[in-house]
Amino acid sequence: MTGFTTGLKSSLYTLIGAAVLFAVWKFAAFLIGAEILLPAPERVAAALFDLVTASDFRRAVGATVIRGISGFSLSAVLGLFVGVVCGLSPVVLRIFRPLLAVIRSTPVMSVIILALIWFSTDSVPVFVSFLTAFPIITGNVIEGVGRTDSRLLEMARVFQVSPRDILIRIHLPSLFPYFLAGMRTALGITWKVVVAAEVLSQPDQAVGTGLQIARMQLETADVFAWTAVAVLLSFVTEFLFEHLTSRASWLNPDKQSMRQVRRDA
Amino acid sequence: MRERKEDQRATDLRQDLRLRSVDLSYGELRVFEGLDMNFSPGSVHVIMGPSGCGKTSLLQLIAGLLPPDTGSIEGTAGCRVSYLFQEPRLLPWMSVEGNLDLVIRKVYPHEVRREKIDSILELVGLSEFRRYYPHALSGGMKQRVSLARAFIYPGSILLMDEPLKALDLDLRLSLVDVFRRLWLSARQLCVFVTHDLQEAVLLGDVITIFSRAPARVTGRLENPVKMQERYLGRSELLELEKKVYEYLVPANRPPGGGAADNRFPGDR
Repeated sequence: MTGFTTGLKSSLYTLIGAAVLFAVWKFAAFLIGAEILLPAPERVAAALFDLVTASDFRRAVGATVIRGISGFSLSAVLGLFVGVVCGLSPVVLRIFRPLLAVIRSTPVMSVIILALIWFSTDSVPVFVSFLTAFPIITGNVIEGVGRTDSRLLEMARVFQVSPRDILIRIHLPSLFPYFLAGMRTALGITWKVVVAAEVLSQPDQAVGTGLQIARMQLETADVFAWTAVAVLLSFVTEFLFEHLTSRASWLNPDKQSMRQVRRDA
Repeated sequence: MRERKEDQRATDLRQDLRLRSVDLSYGELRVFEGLDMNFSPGSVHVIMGPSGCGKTSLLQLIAGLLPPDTGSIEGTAGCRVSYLFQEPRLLPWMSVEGNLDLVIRKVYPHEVRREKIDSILELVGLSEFRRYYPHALSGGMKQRVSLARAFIYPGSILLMDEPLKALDLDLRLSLVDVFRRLWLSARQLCVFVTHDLQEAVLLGDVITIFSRAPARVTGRLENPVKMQERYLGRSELLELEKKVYEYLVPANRPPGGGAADNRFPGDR
């Protein structure tokens, strides 16, 4: 079978899946017959259209995107740094381990509520997304440092390669796939927690604020529409991430191990 | 430039490299008990012996990767050590020249490094492959890069741990030639571990045979032929090969390959 027909077939199945989903939704909406509980797909589509064409929509989405990206980038940079230091030094790892474990197990809601107490409404989602992504990325980087090929490190030791070169030319390239896998996982939950934080902190411009207003006005179709926006946001960023990182594959010619890492994560 | 480099190596290592009553054990297994050895500079010392007798440990001791339990290793202080491992150990994310550059970044300024890389790649016949990454090279080419790395690094001691083990006969003999050419221009003290009789007689100035662990030196043979004049099939070398063989495979082994005590050669 050629690649083209395989691709066609798999996208056909995806279309069938989506069609079934819409059919079930439509049928359920028809059965329930109360728009406030479950609006029909076409009602949501209309609401989405109104939403997208409204004047402040772009600003709301833009603000949410900026919050998500800031929190995520902050945790990527700090996660890489802390992960490398912890990975290289067992002492620092022991110091950081309790902190990382606590952050990892703290309910997102507790983080949001505490952030509401501590910060201004605009920075609450940034803080929350930072705190959820940070332990994931850090954990992956620590793992990546630990998995550096000890035979390469021994080689570098014999040939007296400088510690700086060992870090830049051996540790960083070999942990890179783990770092990517950590970012990929973290990105998947970033938008969920950003929107959750926005619902509670209510910044002026935000997807979460739109969601909350729709709920209070009992506009269930709008709730669905804002949700669709959040879902699309997640799809788009994940697509962009895959696209950008596939270009960085020169850093690791061994794609097999990259796939392995993704499955592990 | 070249002459100065060789002078430097010579001053690095004028006296012998000595192991003095070295003890080493891994848990229950005693690898060395009071091992004394002498390696003179300017020659290739081949080490042979049964599997698991501590040949790799010997190299690791000399390289400083492994401290002895007791005893000492003298004559290595301040020396640079080159190491050719069983497997190539190249960085997969760096090209051939990047891998060579890695080990001399601290040693030479940029322009000198370029020249050295050019000339060593010429010598191992990999000039056109300088920008290739290891995954695109065959096993023999990778080991040639690794050989180039061991020689581009100005080590006054060169340690080789069965570097040609995984290669076919033809490739092995051509790499023996490459090694010989490279070594003759530097003449570092070389400790070469191998199981291969032909490699041993072609490259070894001195061939030392180890017993099973705890390893003792059971034989020491000097090669009567100069490095440049050795070729396979030369009568003195065939003679030497036979002698080494006799040390390695004792004639008084019971029939059935020593299975009488349920131990195979190399069992611990």
